[in-house]
Formats: sequence, C-alpha cells, structure tokens
Amino acid sequence: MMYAVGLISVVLIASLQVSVAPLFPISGAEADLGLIAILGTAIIAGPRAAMLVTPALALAIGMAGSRSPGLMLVAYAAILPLAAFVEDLPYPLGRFPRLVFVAVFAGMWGRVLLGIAAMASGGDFAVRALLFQVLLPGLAFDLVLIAAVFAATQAAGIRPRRFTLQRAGWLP
Amino acid sequence: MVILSRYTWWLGAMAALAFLTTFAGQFGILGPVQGIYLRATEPVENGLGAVFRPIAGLLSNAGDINSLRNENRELRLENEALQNDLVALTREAERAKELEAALNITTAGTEGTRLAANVVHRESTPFTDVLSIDRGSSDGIQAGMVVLSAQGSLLGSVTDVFSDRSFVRLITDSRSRVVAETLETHVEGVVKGAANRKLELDLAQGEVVVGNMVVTSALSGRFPAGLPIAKVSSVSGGPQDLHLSVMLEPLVRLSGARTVLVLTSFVPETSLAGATP
Repeated sequence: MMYAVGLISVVLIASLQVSVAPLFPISGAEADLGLIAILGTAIIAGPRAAMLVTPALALAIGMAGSRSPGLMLVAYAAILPLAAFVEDLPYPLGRFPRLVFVAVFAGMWGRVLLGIAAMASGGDFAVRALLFQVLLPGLAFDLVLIAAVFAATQAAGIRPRRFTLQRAGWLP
Repeated sequence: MVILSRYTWWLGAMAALAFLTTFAGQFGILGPVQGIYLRATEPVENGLGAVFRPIAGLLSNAGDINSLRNENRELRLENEALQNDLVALTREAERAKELEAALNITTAGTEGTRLAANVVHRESTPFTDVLSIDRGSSDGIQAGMVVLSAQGSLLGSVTDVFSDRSFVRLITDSRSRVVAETLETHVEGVVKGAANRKLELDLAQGEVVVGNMVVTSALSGRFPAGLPIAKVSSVSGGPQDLHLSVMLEPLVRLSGARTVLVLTSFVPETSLAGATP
C-alpha cells in the first residue's frame, strides 16, 4: 500500500513538474518540485524512503519531459549525500538552516548541470542568463517551497527525521 | 566521512542507472518505455493543465494589463491596415490566377498537408523552449517535421517522436537554427534562438530594416521556403561590420500557443537521410 501511494505521488509530482511548474515561472525559472519532494520525503519518512523516491522521481521527470532521465539522476543523486554531510557539520545550526543550505546547494547543482547540458548541446553560452534567470529566481522559489513544507511538518507535529544513514542498506 | 561512505553504494547504483538510461536513450531502447509512460500519464497532465492554466493566465494577464491594453490598441490599427492589404492581395491573386490560366502555367502551393495537434505542456527555460504535443508516430509524425502556429507562422520542428506524443523544439530555443531570408530584400541569414527566448537573425549581410518580414529559406532542406517566422524589431551595425546584429519579434505569441499544425507533407532532407535534424 505504501509503495502504491509512493508510486502515485511520484507520477503526480513528475506531472506537476512538467505541466504546472512552467506555468508559474519567476523570471524564466521554475520551481524544482523533484528536489522539494525528495527533501520532504527525507524529512517525513527518513532517508531510506528518499533513497527509493530519488531515482523514481528522476526517471519520471526525465521521461515526462524532454530532459534526459540520466541527467536528472545525476542532478538528484547529490541531494541525500549532501544533506547527510551538512547534518554532520560541527556548526551550531538548527534544522531549518541546514535544510536551506541543502536546498540551495542541491538546487544549484541540478540547475547548473542542466544549464551546462543545454549549452553543450548547441545552446548559447550565456553564463549571465544561467546565474540571473535560472539560478537565483529558481533558488528563491525552492526556498519558499521548502519553508512551506517545513512549516507544514512543524504544524502537523511531525518531528523531522535525520538524513544520516545509521547503516548501509537499501529497503526501509 | 563515515556517514557519507554509507551513501557510496547508493551513489554507485545511481551512477550506473544514469549510465544505463543514457545508453538506452542513445540507442532508442528507452523510447518505447517512455512512450508507454507518456501515454499513461497524459490524462493526468491534461487534467492538471486544465486546472492550472486558467489560473496562470489570470495571474499573467493581471500583471500585464497596461501592456495588453497598448498591444490591443496597436493590433486594432494593424488589423485595419492588414484588412486593406488583404483586399488588394486578393485582387492581385485573382489576377495572377487569370494570367496563369491564360499562359497555361501551373504552380505548386505552399499549403501542404497539416495535422492539428494540442499542446500538452511547454518546457521553457532561458536555454530551452520545448513543446510537447498530443500527436506521435501513430499519426504519421516524424522527427524533423515542421511545426506551425494555427495561423501558419513557423513555430519550430519535431525533435523526438513517440507513439502518441512528440516534442517540438521552438524557434526561440537557444539550440534552434533556421536558414532564412528577409522577404523584402532577400538578405539571407540564420534565425537562431538566443538565451532568454530571444530571436536573432545571424550572419545577415545587406540591407535590413525594422519591420522587414523574415521567412524560411529552402537552402538547408529542413524547411520549405516562404514560411513566415518573425519581423525585424531592431538592427544595429553599419557598413564596416561584417554582419549586422538583427533582433526579431516572433509573429506568434509562443507562450499562448494551444493548438499547433504539423506540416506532414514536408519531410526534411535530413530525416530522409536518416540523420537527426
């Protein structure tokens, strides 16, 4: 049952990413719903569930749109290890600032990767556009959404889960 | 680092999966799977689009109300001028037909067979501008086919085809290149999409002025000649410059396209040769 709900959610988020997110752009950039969903899953259900959701979402978003599924996998693969790394940093940061840090750097990585892929496949080499039209507005969009997800979990009384894996393994 | 090492095997699996899907995509193995996925999710995407598109339209129009008013005023004036031109052109066309009949000349039309398709979604970033349409190989669509707006202006060309879905690279995509010429002065160049979905006429040498119409040229073999693309919106550079810097304004508002026409009667030469357009 849990896997069926997960699968339907993945398809729904991928459809939202390709058909709804482009309708609400900020200066040409759109929210990365895949990133938000992966972080949201990790917060609510823990990193092992997110480890299953990550490849499923990458493949679903890649296949629903014109982006390469392989590239989406590489873009999203950084999220969980980065989150675990940030969680392990010896700085007195709260849960939310760490989440913001992860969202910013994972979002940056994914967008730069897709931008470079577009440039490499014949697009204009436009670093300024990548920075001001893709990265900054996109990251601002992501931050608003991740703040909303975090606030919703807090309001619902859900204690955010840790990103760190206690031991290696696959299934939750 | 110990914590990160617990993700190592997972990262390895992700990298392997990325390699496999890229490999499968390159050799067309992923195509049928993607076709099935697109067919299965089409109702979901259509439903979401139907719900959110009016909201997006409302928000977009609310922000642009003044510019829309101005545009509407200009369009009314332009419409009046165009109606007058239409009358004159209709008379000239009738006269030309009479002369062709008298001289026993037959000319091929540029209309061709057009297949209407609905836009499912649009993926638009400063670097990419791609449409997804609800027609595919089962409707006779092939990669490289030309896609027009409902009014007949060039929108782009088909890049990927699945059984019931195709992806169209718009002319404003920064990877798009169309060999073109100005209608009035026959100055040739390449219409290319630039970052931020701008459009420019590259490599143009000769007399180009604001307001010139830019149409496709048959030189590349990828587009039939004479399809309207855009109007010249600005020209910079003088006689000392090797090429003029010509910016274009598309004839159709690309973001508003809901229905497009695929020119199925024209198969680009690159497709005939089996190459990717």
